[in-house]
Amino acid sequence: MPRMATPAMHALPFALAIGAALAQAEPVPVLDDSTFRTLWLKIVPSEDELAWRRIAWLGTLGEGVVAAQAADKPILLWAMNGHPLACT
Amino acid sequence: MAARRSVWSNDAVQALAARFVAVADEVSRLQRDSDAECRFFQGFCEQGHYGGRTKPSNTRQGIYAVTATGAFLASINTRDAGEMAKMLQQALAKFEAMPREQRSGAAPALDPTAIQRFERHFPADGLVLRAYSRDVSRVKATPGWRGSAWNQDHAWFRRAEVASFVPAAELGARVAMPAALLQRFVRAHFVDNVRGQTFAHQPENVVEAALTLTCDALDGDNQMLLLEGKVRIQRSGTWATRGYGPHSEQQLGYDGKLLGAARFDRARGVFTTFQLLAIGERRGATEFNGRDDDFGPAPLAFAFELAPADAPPVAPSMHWVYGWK
Repeated sequence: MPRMATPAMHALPFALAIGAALAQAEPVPVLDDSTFRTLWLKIVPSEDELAWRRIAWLGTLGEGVVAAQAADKPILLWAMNGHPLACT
Repeated sequence: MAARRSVWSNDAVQALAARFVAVADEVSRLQRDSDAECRFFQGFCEQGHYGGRTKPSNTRQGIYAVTATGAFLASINTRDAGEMAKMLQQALAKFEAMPREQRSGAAPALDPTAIQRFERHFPADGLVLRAYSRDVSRVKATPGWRGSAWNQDHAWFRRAEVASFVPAAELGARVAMPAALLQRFVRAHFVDNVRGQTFAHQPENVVEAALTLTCDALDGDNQMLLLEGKVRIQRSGTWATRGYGPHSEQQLGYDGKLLGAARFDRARGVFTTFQLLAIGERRGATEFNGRDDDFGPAPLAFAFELAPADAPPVAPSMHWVYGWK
């Protein structure tokens, strides 16, 4: 059973699988109980990569309009193709 | 994606943003549709940095500062923290010079509960996952932001769906995620969006998918679950691989192994921890996913973890795959 990864762990070098049959294929790391935590920490964004989440983003413009009116604050709207809090 | 790190991570920008109600939203819908939220956006977006422009594209992407009454304050589209800070300061100055009645009004300008967004289906008592995609370390490093790119999304499961893939509270008890549920999960969330948006898989593209949950330990009301599985995706057809370029015969695929662990609270009927990792090999490119010079084969990973309870409800990017009405 893979032990759950926690953010405090340090990354370690991981073992690579034998190369794929195709000459130009890149090796795919082995995923098993012993490599799970290391790979998890490589894939999930770091705290530095997630620093933008320190801003208290609301997820819909409508909610923002209501909140801004109640708080007498301006709205800061980050609008992208693809929701900025999801896939862009 | 790059803006998340370069602009919104900046301390000065964060300090200024705290003086606003910060909102993130999807611009295509706001530009195109006609409900109250969209009309609100359309009322000020033409005064911004893209106002009046229709070529080379008619997007209204960017960062806008606006009052709760819809009065435009400022806008910009930049990844430069200094430029962003300047825009926010200008917006604040303009806001503070306005009378309260003019900038905020006596009541909200719209009723968000009357707007039919997919977020109305948010499964508060189900399972809400944050999904991440990222290239696993490459033998040949890719320069620039593309080499460190990652993307995110959300995956939703209703409470009844969760109940369908939690095994009995017996050591060794095992259950397979129902095929239709797993197919939806794979179609919407095992997509190569590391460098940009892409399309969802069709049902026939999911050639093989299996995810088994096994009761590995019991602790009072808590079940520790082992997640194991695999996925194989294969798609062929004709599409462009660089923006609006010419279409040609293409192959797209992903072969991956899944492994993870989770804790399920049987008394409350919810997951309290969840980590699922997929490591595999991808092939191919789509119009906007930034792979036109990187067809692979190459290693690609997906990770899924429990979203915090206080995170804003944001619909899965490919929510139409869910078929929820």
